[in-house]
Amino acid sequence: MAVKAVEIRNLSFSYPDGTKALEEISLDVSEGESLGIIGPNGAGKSTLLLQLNGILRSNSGSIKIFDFEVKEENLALIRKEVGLVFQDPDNQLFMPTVFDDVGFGPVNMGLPKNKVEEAVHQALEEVDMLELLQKNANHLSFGEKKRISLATVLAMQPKILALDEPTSNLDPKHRRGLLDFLKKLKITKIIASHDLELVLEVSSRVILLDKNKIAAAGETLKILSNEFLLTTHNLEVPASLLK
Amino acid sequence: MHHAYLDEYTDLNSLIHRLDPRIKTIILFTFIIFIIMTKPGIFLSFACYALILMVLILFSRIPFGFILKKSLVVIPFVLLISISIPFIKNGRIIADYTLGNFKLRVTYEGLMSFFTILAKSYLSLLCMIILITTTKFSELLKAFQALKLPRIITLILSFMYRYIFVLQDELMKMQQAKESRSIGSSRWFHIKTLSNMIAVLFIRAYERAESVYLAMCSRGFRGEMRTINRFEIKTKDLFFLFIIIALLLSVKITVG
Repeated sequence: MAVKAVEIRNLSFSYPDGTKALEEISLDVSEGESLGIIGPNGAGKSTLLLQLNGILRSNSGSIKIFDFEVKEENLALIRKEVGLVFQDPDNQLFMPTVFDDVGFGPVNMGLPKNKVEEAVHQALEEVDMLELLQKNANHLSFGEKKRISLATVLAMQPKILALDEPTSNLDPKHRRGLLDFLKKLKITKIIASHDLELVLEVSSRVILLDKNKIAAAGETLKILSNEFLLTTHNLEVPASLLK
Repeated sequence: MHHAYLDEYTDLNSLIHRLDPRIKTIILFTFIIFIIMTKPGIFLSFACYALILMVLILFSRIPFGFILKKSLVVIPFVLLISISIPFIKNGRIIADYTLGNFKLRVTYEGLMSFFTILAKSYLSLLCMIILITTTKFSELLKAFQALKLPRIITLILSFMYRYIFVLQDELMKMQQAKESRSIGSSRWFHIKTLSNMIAVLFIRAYERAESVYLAMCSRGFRGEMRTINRFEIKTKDLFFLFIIIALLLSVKITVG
């Protein structure tokens, strides 16, 4: 049996102001699997991702990452294993130069100087952005920022990659580049997106969140071709699946 | 968006640009200390310092016009603060003005300290301008860090440098959105919307700070900011440091 990378049991969460964001979520993700999270705006997709590395902590229920419960004493370990890429690259990139940004995670992991540099070079090479090493994030295009955001997380060599809207606002060429990259990447992936074509290509399994609950779960092709299901949840069947 | 006005000439490749940022910072701060320590009225030493600075600017290959333009920005503030000194300071009276029953006296000592302040502040300013126009802001921050400037200050500067342009972009976009929808309304209306926009900008800045903090935590931030620098002091750097300090000392000793 495959190793469980993520195990979520009866997870509920509401924001401090009382807004319910997640209700009774239970979910397993096996190692190496690629899971898509789809659903209308405000369904709780981003909130679920933020739970995965303990940025937001649930009121009830539990999350385990490779058998480690998400709780205070495991946070350092869990944040190394779960690489979370935020939707807005201006939030993801907060250091003066690209080098410092990509090196931020590795430095926090306590790697020595030469290992940090190695990790930075390798991560930037993977996203094909090595020539921007000394640039300032203000001087980058949106597509470049998105790719470097990915590199900031890859540099920590996570076992699970959690992406929030990775293709939003990308032009077709950058989007295609990202898609191909994700398809090649062998680690566990959890992708929250409205881009159903992306989910169709990259994910083998999908969960549909609506009104803070899991409305449906199953094989990508099965869910994404179910017109009735998708339209009742404010989504639509991807064009490539229509005859 | 491209904002270049902070790092306009920092990409040049000159003797000054290539200096180790820590050494450069030390050199220019030492320079400022020497300038400040000069006794009032010894204009020959100011001239010597100015000459050394000119040579530094020449070496740095930054256009004189650019440095002049930058330096003039601060002069009005210095004037504003020091303009009253010739009238207040006691000493030999060299001019007397009477405006109704209001008497103004200009003293020689006052005038001397006025010119001294002007010279000192202008020369110190030139030092700072040379430092920031020949060093990338990010390198400057690391130099400050390496020189043990309090972490909190370098951090604030670092985030400011990263996000000031982001906020500026947001303000610009709001401005454009407003322009597109306001046709022929009164000036008072524009002023009112401006105050709303400032409020929105504050809220956005606050929310962004929150998101950035979350992003930092996600990448293992535990309350302590660490960065690595790749500075390396070469013989050339030390050589330069000694030359400048020797020059400053000889000016100080021979001229005063």
